[in-house]
Amino acid sequence: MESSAEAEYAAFEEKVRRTVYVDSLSPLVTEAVLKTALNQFGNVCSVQFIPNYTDSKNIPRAALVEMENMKQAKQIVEEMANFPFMMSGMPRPVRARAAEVEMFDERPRKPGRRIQCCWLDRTDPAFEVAKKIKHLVRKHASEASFLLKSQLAEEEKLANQQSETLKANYKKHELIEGVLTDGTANRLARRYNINFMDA
Amino acid sequence: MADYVFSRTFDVGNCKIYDMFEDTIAGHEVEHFFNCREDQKFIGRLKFKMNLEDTTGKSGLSSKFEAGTAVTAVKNVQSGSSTNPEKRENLTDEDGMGAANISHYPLEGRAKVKYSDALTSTGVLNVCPPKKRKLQRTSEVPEMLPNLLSRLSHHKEKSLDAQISFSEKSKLLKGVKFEKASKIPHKEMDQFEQHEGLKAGIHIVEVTRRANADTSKWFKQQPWEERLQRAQDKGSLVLLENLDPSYTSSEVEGIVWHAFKEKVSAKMIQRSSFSSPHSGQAFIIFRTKDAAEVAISDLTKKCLMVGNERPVVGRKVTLREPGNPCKFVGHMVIDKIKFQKQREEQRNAVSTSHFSQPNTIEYGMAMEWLALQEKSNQWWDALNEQQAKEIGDCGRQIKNRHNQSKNFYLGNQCMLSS
Repeated sequence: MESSAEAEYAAFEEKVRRTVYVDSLSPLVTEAVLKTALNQFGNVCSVQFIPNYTDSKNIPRAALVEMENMKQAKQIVEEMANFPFMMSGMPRPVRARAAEVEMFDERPRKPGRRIQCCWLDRTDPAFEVAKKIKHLVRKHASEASFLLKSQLAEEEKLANQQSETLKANYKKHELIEGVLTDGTANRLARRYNINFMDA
Repeated sequence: MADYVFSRTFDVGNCKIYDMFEDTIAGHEVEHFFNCREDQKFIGRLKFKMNLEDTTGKSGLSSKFEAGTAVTAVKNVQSGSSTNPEKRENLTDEDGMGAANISHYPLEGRAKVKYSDALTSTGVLNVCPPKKRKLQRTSEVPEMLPNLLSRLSHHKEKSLDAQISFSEKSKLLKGVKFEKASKIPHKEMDQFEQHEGLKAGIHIVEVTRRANADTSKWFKQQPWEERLQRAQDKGSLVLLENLDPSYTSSEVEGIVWHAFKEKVSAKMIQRSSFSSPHSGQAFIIFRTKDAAEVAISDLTKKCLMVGNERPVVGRKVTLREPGNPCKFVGHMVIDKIKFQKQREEQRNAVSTSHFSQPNTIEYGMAMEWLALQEKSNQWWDALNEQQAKEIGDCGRQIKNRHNQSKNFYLGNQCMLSS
């Protein structure tokens, strides 16, 4: 019994090491897209999206991709850290990290772990400290949610800025195209006695 | 082992056959209806009173009926007292739940069969086999029946004599019900006191696998998302925080079982890049709204310490609305590309996943994103580090206090012994 639990846990840990956590995913990315994309690096065994029930809905999606072996997983993480990888859109690249045990939904219990719990009474000397920790937990949660909010704002800012740049570029191209097609360029060339083809 | 296998349910209210088994039928967990085991009876009884109130409150008795009950109040008492000895026996005898009740069944069973004959069009017959089985197994039947019967009455068949015998049956059943409701509390109180005693002391309970945890896998569960949504609508959803992030869902179920004596389903929230590495969160679906509220107030007023010095925080949680696709920034499209005459293959090209090439605008922009990602990594690391420090400080304090209290108790003992 004990040894089978240990074997199960060891197998699970091995699976964790083979798995890549991918986030900054567009909502358009489906399991099939992920599979095709990461099959370039090896064989994708399974894909699982991590559901997001509570957080603000603008958080990009994340997924766990299980690869055939550890080497492939490692390679994906390394390459995506150094080169921007696009999936279902651009220019925002996806991000890959090594998966962690806690990211998995179905995981076996750690063999041999014993959990103890007890109710603290008001009279217990530890009660006040426990209360303090509870406050701390709340504080930390709100700190994290604030940070997340500012990150999302930051991302939006960058996206807007880039879209402005792109529009400017686009406009420039359009202008040049327009000048060339309606003969303005030719007329100007004649006016200034420049050979248009040289310019 | 199961004697029968049930794969479908028939909803008498909606006249529909479902492939899925609900967790509860008219407020009762399904496992009470089928294949009852010795150890389940205990829990069944604990819940009993609550269920009684539930069904009596909500049972869709027609108004005609309610009027009728006043007239027959005397009768209730009579029928109640006539069943009294049996009931008492039923309550005192731990194992003989079925035995005493069976004497009622021929009567009720017949009544039901009669109705189902009359109302074949509503498809009652489909329900019969499981119900009949239930009759022999549990003591909760009596208040189920009026519920069922009253629903039938909504359907059709206004035939007079049917209604008369029908209402008489339910009167009888009501009598039984009242009698029961009055009997149960003693038992319940005992149980309750036991729990209180357990909570008041500083007993450290080792969390083991919850009793009959495996029964939850008897029936195919509904998808978790649906159950979560339903629990939120019902108000029985609680978010626990500050758990050890490495706990599994079943371990959390065990903790809740030991702390609140409530059978719940729990799910650890999967970690993502934005979740705290210090505080694990889990959704808990309680069976009732009351249980959820009691748990939250207990967690607020007292402190439940789990594992090595972690007080658990519990709160209500609102889920984000499902269905709305989320907004995702950072992907851009040029919708009208007219300045380039596109070749056929260019037009048909789909954006595939790729590494960007260094000589493109895309690459330059992607680099900006990578820089932002790096910044984000750093600020999350900074936050986590700072939080870890704060938690560490408090952890040390609590250890000191623990030692203090140990010394305190030891000192008391010394004084007593001297």
